[in-house]
Formats: sequence, structure tokens, C-alpha cells
Amino acid sequence: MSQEINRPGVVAEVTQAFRRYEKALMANDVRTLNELFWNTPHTIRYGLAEQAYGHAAISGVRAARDPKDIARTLTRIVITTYGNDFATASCESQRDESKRFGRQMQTWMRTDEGWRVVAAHVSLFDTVQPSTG
Amino acid sequence: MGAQNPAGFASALEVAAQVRAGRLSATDHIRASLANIRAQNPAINAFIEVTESRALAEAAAVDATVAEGRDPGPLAGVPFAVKNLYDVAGLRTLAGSKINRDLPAATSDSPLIERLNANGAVLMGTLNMDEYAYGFSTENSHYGPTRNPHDRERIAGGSSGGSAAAVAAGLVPLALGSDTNGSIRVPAALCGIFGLKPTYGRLPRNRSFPFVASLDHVGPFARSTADLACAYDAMQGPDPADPVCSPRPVEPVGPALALGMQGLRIARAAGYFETSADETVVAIVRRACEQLGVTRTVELPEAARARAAAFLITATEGSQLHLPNLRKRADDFEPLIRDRLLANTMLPGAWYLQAQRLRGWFHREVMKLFEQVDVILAPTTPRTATRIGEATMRINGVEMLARPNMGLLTQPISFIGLPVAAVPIGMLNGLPVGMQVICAPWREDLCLRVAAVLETMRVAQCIAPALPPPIKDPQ
Repeated sequence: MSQEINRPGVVAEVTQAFRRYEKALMANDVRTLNELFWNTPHTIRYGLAEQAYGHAAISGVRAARDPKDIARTLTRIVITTYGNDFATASCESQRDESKRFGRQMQTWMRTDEGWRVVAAHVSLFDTVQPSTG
Repeated sequence: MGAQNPAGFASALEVAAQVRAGRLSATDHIRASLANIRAQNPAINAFIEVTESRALAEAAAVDATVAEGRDPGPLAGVPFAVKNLYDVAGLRTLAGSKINRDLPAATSDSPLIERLNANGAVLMGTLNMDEYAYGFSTENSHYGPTRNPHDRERIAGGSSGGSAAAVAAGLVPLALGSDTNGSIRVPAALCGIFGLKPTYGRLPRNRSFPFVASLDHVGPFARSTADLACAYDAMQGPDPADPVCSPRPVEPVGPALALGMQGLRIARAAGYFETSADETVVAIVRRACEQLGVTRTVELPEAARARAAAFLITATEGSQLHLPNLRKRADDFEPLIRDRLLANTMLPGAWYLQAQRLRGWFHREVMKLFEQVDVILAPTTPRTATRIGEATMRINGVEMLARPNMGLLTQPISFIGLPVAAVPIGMLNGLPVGMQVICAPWREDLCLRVAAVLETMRVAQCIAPALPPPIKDPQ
């Protein structure tokens, strides 16, 4: 089933949602960030310093976020889609100010409202090196 | 110019966005595109057959999908056309020849056409080429030469000349070609558009007419990197019917297209790639490198021998493919290639084997370079488009045969199957100049990322040719 993984139209949709999320993150646009996480108790986000279970907890973390040193440049993005309604989006990044290296993994699902993140994990390092490519 | 011809110069992605949103009817857009082809094609002779009724049926299907609230795909309503060596159901696969008129019509489409159709694109017809893809000029004696939209007295390049001219002239935003020794990259350069020759084995070649099985590649043309990437992503994926096609899964390049060039090690190809090109072309490539901040150089060892070996493999496999017809009906072949094909049937087998041995060696040597750099930049052609009918050309004051030498900078690269984005990087006396963005196998993503950077910086851009005003559509 060559078209099942990374069907072009599905990749394009998830890419668009991923870019919208990244833009909102850089602008600290909390409303859009909250919108793009699936609004259910099932949603999980492991952050840099906390584990948030459920959309309400994730929104709480967003509201308390310190926007200092959030500007980052993505250095690698891999989006993989599985069938029509499910995808993973992984990226590496470097903070523009502190130069710290970051990783972000998101699981996306198509819902009636559009593509939403159902699980995410971010990490930030002083020592880990970015991959080449 | 673009303003005279908005239907033709809209980007594929713009058209698809409008169609998917229900703001543009695919049928209306395809009707306008068909009228545009009828009006403009006679001046450049890019199309050989226009598949009008099929195009209208495909457009109607796209509109019906939108009306049902479903998504027709990222290329919804986008017109495209194919070099006439791709199988199109119901048409004879001419491959630019007279001889193939005797073949039965193809019973199904090439897998690349199927995949573009499945993503909403609409097939408009088939395009002119050098007979059997053996040439760099699309001077076809059976169907007439394809003319360069930037100067109709000059060649469009080849062998996918109809594909490049159709895209450059705004007849379609996307076209498919094939590249054995440079047949996507050369016409892309001479017509001033973008082209992608993917890694050998990346896209399936079954149900297309072959030329040199060891070297044949297929790939797209477009007027922007984003359109090129979208078409490429839509066509990736294995097909067991082409034994050379890799089983690698689809690796979409779209998501990372805008990542920029941070962290990429980029070098300019020195040595053969500069001494073989006219100094006026080299100056434009160097200027593009300076604008990118590229200062390091690399040298591909024995590039001239690599090119010679590509010629030997081409000569041997190509002539063996056509040997039965050369014996029976040599006079029906294109006069510009007939003598070469006949002479090639007599090449010693040992030469062919030595050429294949060099291929392995050259591949290993160039892979060592890719431990130090990620991207290599080189001119695409040694000069701008020559005049139609011109047998010789001058490069840095040296006179040489024009038709076989336009590919002398592309041949060493396709010889070892590396992916290349061909990008338009400037004009010289009103004629386009192109550059090759060359990467390690399977790194089409990096070729296209660097092409996108060049385009964002406006170092690379398609310039719409000043075609004559459209003649009144007869229908």
C-alpha cells in the first residue's frame, strides 16, 4: 500500500497545521495553541518541566508560560502520515538566543474540527547535538 | 507576459487552493487552459497531442468531488502534460518517433500520470521530444522543432524540450520529462524553469518508453520550487513493475521545504564543471554562489571520463534497444540520430564493461565528497540556447558539435544517479542560464530546500517570456 503512508494530500494538510502551530508558538498566541490541542481529557503534553494530562492542564501550562527565549529556528522536520486521519510530526530546533537544542514530537489526529495534537513531548538540551541533514 | 495570460502563469498551488476552496471551477480553468494552448502552442510547438475530452472529463470529476464536500487532492484542477514517451491510455507512445506510430495504443497510463491524477491534476496532452530521447535539442524532423519561448529561433533544449517549453510559455504549470544524460536539466536551464531529476530508482519508469535502462530517470518541471516539490511528493512511492524503482517509502519533501540552509555544507564544483562551461555562464553561477555565501569548492575526480563512460553506456544500450528496427527500417529513424545509432551497434563489449566499472569507481569517489559537503552547485549547460539548425557552438572560443555537447555538465551527475534540482539563476543576452543543485542519493529534500532558498532570495526565478499577444481563439 504505497499510498497509505504519506499520502500527499494528507501530508499537505498536516504540514499546514504544523506550520500554524509553529507560528502561534513563536507569537505566544495562546488561543491558537490551545485550539490546536485536542480539547479532551485524553490529551497529554510532556513539557520541559511538567507533565500535563488533559486539555485543561495543558491550557494552564500555556497561560503560565514565560515567553523569554522562545524564538527558535527549526533545523529538521519529519512529518509522517498513516492513512487519512493520523500523523506524527517531529522536529529539531535551536533557540535563537540561548542556542539550546530542542526536540518536539507531536501526534496529530483528524477530528471533526480539523487536525489536532493528541499527544506531545518536548525536550531541551545544553549538550545534545542536532542531527545532520 | 504574465498579465496577458493569467490562466497560464498561475502557479499549480494557487490553482489547487482556489479549486479546493470552491472559488474556481476546475472545468472553467481547464477550458481556459485549453484555449491558451490552442492559441500559444503553434508558436513554440511543444504539444504533439492535446487530450481535450479527457481533460474536460477529469476536470468535471474534480468539480464533482468538491461539490460532494470531499477533497480532490493537493493538485486539484492543476493542468499538466507529459513528454510523449509516457504511456497515456488510448494513445500510441510515440517517443518522438515515426516508427512507434505502428505500435498499438497504450492500454493504461504511466504510474506517474495515475498518481498525479489521483491527487487532482488534469492531463492536457503529450509533448514533443528528441526522437527516442537521444538528443539535447528537440529538433525533431518528424514533428518539427520545439522553439524556445524566450527566442523562437533557438532550441528549447532536450530531450524533454516540449515539456520545458510548455511550462516556460505558461501552457501548463507542471510537466513530466525524462533524463538519461541531462534531458530534464538541459531544457529546464535553456527555457529558464525549475526541474527535478530525482535519484536513480526513486520514481517508477514502467509504462514509459525506455532509452538506456542503466541511466533512465523520470521527473517533473515547474515554475517554482513549491510546485515542483508538490508534484514530486505526489509521485513518490514504490512500484514493483519497475525493478529499478526503490522500495523506499514516500519521504515527503514538502514539510521541510522552508527550513532554509542553516547547517548545510554547500560547495561549488570546480575543475571540469568550470573549464567546460563558457566563462559568461560560470560568472553567473559564481555570483549565485556568492549571494548564498558559498565559498568552498570541490572537484569531482575524472568527471570528463565519467561523461565519456555515460556516452558509451548510452550508445551501447540505446542502439541495442533499437537494433531490430535499425536492421529493418533504418530510413524511418530521425536523420539527426540515425548514423550515431547505426555506428553504436558496433561498439566493443569491453568498452561497455569498462564504462560500467568506471561508474562504480566514480560513485564511490563522489560519495567520499558527500562526507564533507551536503550540496554541490554547478552550471547546468555550457552556454545558453543555440539557434535551431546550428550544428556547432563555441565554448570559450573552442568550436565543438552543439547537439551532443549541451549535456557535458549534466552527464557525469546522472551517470551515478545523484538527485539534482535544476534552477534558473539568470539571463544572458535575454536567454536563461541554469544551475544544478546536486546532493547525495535520496536527498531530494536538500536539493529542493536549497532551490527554495535561492528562490526566496530571488537569485533563482522564472522570468515569463515575452511571447507575442495571444491570437484569437478559433473556437
